[in-house]
Amino acid sequence: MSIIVYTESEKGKLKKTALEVVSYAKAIADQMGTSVTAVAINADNTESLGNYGASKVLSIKNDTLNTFNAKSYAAALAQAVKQEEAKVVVVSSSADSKYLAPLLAVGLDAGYASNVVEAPSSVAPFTVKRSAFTNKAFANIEITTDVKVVGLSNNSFGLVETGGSASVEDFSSAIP
Amino acid sequence: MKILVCISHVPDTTSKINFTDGDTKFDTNGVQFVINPNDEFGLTRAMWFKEKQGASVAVVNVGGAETEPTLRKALAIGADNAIRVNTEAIDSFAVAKQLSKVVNDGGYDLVIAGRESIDYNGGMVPGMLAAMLDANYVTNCIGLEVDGTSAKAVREIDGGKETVSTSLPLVIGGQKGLVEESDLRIPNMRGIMMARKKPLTVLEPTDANAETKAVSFVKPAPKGAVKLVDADNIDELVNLLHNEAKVI
Repeated sequence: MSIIVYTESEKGKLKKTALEVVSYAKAIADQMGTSVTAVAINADNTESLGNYGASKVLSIKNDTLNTFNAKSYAAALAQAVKQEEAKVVVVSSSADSKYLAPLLAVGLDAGYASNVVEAPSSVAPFTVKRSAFTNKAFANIEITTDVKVVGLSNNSFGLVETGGSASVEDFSSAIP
Repeated sequence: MKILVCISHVPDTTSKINFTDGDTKFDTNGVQFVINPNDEFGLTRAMWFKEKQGASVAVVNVGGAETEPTLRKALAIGADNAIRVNTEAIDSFAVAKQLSKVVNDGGYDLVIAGRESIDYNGGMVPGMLAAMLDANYVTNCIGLEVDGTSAKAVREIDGGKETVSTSLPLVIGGQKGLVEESDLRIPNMRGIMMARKKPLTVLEPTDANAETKAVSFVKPAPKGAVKLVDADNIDELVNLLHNEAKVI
């Protein structure tokens, strides 16, 4: 029942936002007493995610996913979430993550909070702070579903190095 | 081609944001409401399809009777008819659920929504709607052409743009760029008069549970005093930008 985090990459190189969402997921995992599993698609050097709090990486290598496709990526992530029986999924606020997250949320029957700016103030009930009204205010949002998707606002949490290490497993998913 | 444009009823961008009921509800007192700017770009693009390709254009809002002036404005701009789903927009999932029923019942080929509303900034409704409809979906859309059942959309991505070939039925999350800002239309007197006679249908909601709820709202803390860093103290500047402002 780990936390799943989607780690974006470009031409095989993990993006900085990937490291930030792993750091954020680790903070949630610590609150919930669980671990972080990162999902990386066609990315290299994914073991480096261990330094930011991931204990496991599900590495998807699939040529049909070389170009971003929201539906396919959401489907791959959903399969990882189900395999790991994860209750929380963390994504970034990049254009691609914001594209796939609503598809993923509906596919998982999960509530989704976007533009989240802090670690949850509570995990039971699961409550997060997100920006609203074009940054003129913040909303404290409770996600009431069993599975939750959290979209972290970029540069809101920062990178937290833990010095840990991650095991990397190949993960093959059926792509629609 | 049947087009449905989703219209959010949002506070004007210059509105002061305050909350009421113990900071649990948005205070609408003295607030001027407008068509969500991202939706307005979509509506204008829909009008282009109406005028150039003979499309029909309906507009829809999920909300109470107070949103009808905003729908009437959309009619004055040129939409053919309006639909209001008579329920409070409690969260994105519930709104998408209501919209999916409207789309299914109306048999729309193209749904254009704003990529996000400027009030709650969720950016979820078009994607959730597309998933519920199992329709094709493009968000951050800054260009759209439709030829028969084929569509070509341009979307903004981090650091560039991407052209996508897709097909109807299609849900678009539109934004500035879908049309030029100078192409946005201000309703004229004739449009306003005609809008009064156009049909505005009120539908009762379908069952839709919210998946999230706003517990409370808070305004940002007032900006603190400016920190001056000595021009020679680069380490301190980097430290502040990295650890405090978190911008690098």
